[in-house]
Amino acid sequence: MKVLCRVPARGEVDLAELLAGLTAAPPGQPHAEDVLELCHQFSTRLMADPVARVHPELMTLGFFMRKAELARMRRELEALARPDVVQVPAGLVFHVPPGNVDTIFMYSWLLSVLAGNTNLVRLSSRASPVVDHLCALLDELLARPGLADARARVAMIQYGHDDAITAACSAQAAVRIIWGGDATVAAVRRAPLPPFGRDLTFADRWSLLALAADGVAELDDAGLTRLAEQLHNDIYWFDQGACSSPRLCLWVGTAAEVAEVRDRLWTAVAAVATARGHWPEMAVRMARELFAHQAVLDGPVVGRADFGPGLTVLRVDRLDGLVRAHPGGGLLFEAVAPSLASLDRWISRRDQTLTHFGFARHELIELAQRLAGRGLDRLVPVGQALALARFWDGYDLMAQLVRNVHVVA
Amino acid sequence: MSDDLDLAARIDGVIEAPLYAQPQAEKAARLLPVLDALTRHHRAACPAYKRLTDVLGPGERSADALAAVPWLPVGLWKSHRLVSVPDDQVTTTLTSSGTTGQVPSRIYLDRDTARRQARGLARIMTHVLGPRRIPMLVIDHAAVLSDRTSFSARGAGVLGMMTFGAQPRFALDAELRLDRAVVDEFLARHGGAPFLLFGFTYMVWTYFYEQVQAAGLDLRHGTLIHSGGWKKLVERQVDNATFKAGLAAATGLTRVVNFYGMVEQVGSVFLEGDDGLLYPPAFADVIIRDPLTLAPAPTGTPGVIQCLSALPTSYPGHSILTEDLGVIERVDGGPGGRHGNALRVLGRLPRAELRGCSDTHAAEVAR
Repeated sequence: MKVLCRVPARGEVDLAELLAGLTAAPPGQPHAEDVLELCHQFSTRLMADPVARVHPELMTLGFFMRKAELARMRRELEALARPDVVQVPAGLVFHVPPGNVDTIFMYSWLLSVLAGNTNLVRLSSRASPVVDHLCALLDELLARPGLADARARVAMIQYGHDDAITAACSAQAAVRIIWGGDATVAAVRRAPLPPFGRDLTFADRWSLLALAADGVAELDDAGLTRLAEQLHNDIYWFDQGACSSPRLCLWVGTAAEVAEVRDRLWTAVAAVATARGHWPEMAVRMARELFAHQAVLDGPVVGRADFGPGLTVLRVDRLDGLVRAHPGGGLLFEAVAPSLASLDRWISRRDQTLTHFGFARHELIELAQRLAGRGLDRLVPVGQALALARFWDGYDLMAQLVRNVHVVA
Repeated sequence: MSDDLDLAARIDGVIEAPLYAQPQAEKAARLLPVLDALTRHHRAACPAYKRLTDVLGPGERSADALAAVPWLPVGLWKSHRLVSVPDDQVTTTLTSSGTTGQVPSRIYLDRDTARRQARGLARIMTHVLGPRRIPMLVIDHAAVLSDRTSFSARGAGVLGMMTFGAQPRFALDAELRLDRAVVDEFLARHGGAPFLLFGFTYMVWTYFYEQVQAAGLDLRHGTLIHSGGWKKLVERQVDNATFKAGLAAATGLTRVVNFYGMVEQVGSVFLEGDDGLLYPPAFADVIIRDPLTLAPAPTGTPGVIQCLSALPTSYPGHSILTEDLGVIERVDGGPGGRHGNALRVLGRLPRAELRGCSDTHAAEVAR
C-alpha cells in the first residue's frame, strides 16, 4: 500500500516501510529540549507569517505553541508526577483529525509530541491551502540539525477513505485519537487496535451560551462592545460549525430584565460583524432561512428577530422539545430562565461547552456538580468557546498521552 | 365553503386574464388580492403554514404588495409534508427528480389544483403553439411515464405537455439511443407542416442533438419547447445561444423556446420570449431578493428568485423562495407586446463549504 507522506515530505511511500520506520524510531521523552525548540521555532515563524494574517486560526495556533505556553504545559505535566512515578511516552499515537477544521491536526500532534510520543497523523485527501502551508513549514523546520530523532518520530500522511490503510495504522497504535464526530468514530473504530491500544474519541457535540441579564445590563458602552466582540469570536469562528460554537443562548434573569438588554447586545454583535466586514456566504444565509422554517415546524420556536444579515435569533419559550440541530453561520436559539438550574433537566451528554458571562464561580461549579456528568465538559468565559485546551470533552489530554511507570524502590 | 368558491373563481379569473399583455402595475393589482386570499386559505387549511406565518411571517396581516406575500423556502418540501386538503382529497403526489442521495420534494395535488395546473399550462402553450394540436415528438423514452401514481418531475412534465400534441411519438429507445425508425416515420408523415418537439433541456442536448448531428434530419417546421434547467449544460459550456445555434445548424430547427418551472409550481411556468428572457404569465410573478438581506432587489440587480403562483390551493406553495439566482432585466415593453417582469436565470446558488468539527464526508464513507 502506498500513501502520500507530507511530513517529512517524501512523496509516495510504502506504508509498511513507513510504519516499520516509525516503530523503530528511538523513543522520545516528555518535554524534551529538541521538541520544545522545534515548537518554539514553529510558533515564531507562524506568528510572523503573512499567511497567518489572512487565517486567524493560524495565529491562534502560533500563540498556543509559544515558549511561555510550552513552559506552562511542562510545569503542568510535572505537577502530575509523583516521586514513585516515572512519566514515559504512550508510544505510537495515530491521529485522525477532522477533515474540515484545518488546524486541529496540529493541536493533536502538538499535545502528543510534547509527551514524547511518535506520531502518525492522517490528513484528509481534500487539499487545503492552510494544511499545505502548515505541512511545508513543519517539514522545513524538521530538516534542521539536531532534529533527526524528532523527524524520525513523525509521519503526516494523506490518504482518502481507505479502510486498509486505516487498519494498518491502527494495528500499530498505542493511542488512537479520533476527531470528526460520530460517523468518523464509528468508521475508524471498525479497525482494531492492538490489545494495549486505546481510543480517545471526539463525538458530535453541541454547545451553548449563558448570559446573566443583570451582568449585561450593568455594562457601559465600552463593556458591551467588548462582550459583543468576544461573542462574535465565539459564534462566528468556523461558521458556528465547531462542536464548541454556542448555538443556544440562555438568558438568566426575569423576562423584563432580559427584554431590556437583549436587543442592545445583539445589535452590538451585529455591529461587530459589520465593523469586521463579516458577511455570511449566500448559501449559508439561505441555509439559515430554510433551517429557521424547519425549526418552527419541529420545535418550540415562538419568535424571530434579525440583526443585520449575519445574525438570526429564534426565540423559544421552553427548552423541552428543542432539537439539537443547527445550520451554522449566524443563528442562535434564545431562551429565558430564572436561573442556571433551568438547564439541569435539559442538558444531555451531547452538550459540550457552556460559554458564560456574568456568573459567579460557585454557580458554575454547582451546575457542574448537579449535572454530575450528564453533560457539559467545559464551562468557559465568553471569548474562549473555541480555545482548544488540555481539558477537552472530559479528557485530560496531557495525562492521556503519557504512561505512568510505577517505581517502588 | 363560499369563501373557497369565491377564491376558486378569483383564481380562474387571473388564469384567464391576458397572459402577457398587462403592464406590471395592472397585473400586480389583479394578482395581489388573489395571492393574499391564498395566504388566508392556506393559513386556515394547513396548520403548519399557519404556524410558519404566525412565527416568521406577517400573521393575520394582509399583504399590501406582491413582495409582502409571505414565502416559504423551496427546501421545506423536501423535509416536511405541507398540504392544505384532507388526505382523501390528494389525487396525485409529485416528486422532484433530485439527484441520487437527495431527498425529493413532495407536492400534494387535489383535483382542483391539478385541473388549474393543466389549464394554466394550456394557456401558456397555446400562446406558442396556437389552438390546434399538432403532431408531437417527445425527446425522451416512453418509460419515463411508467409510474402513474408517483410521477417524477420528468414524467409529469412529459405527460403534461402531451396534451398539447397530437399522436405523440418517443424519439429515444429504452437505452436512450435515437430511435431512427420512429423519427424517420414521424418526419415522413408530419415533417412538412408545423409539429411540436418537447424534451428536457439536458436530454435534448445530450441524447438528441449529439446523435442527430450527423443524421441529416430536417426539423425546419418544428417548434422545440424545452425545460429542466441548464445546470448540467453549463458544466459543459453550453448556454442558450450555443444550444439554439447547434440545433439550427444540425437540423434547421429555429423555433426553440425554453421555459423555467419547477415541480413545486407546476403549470405557472415562465416562457421564453423573443428576447431570450423569461416571462411569468398573468397568474404568476417573480420577485428577486437580495441574497443577504432578502429584501426585494431593484430591476437589474441579481438575487434569489422568488416565484408567485395563483394556482395551488392543495398545498401552500403560492409563494416560494427558490435556490436559483436571477435578475429582472426589464419591466414592461418587451418584444411581441410582452409586459411585466422579464427574468434572466443565472443558475443555482453556490453550495456552502461546510466547516466544523464533524466530518461531513465520514457519512459518505459509511454509506
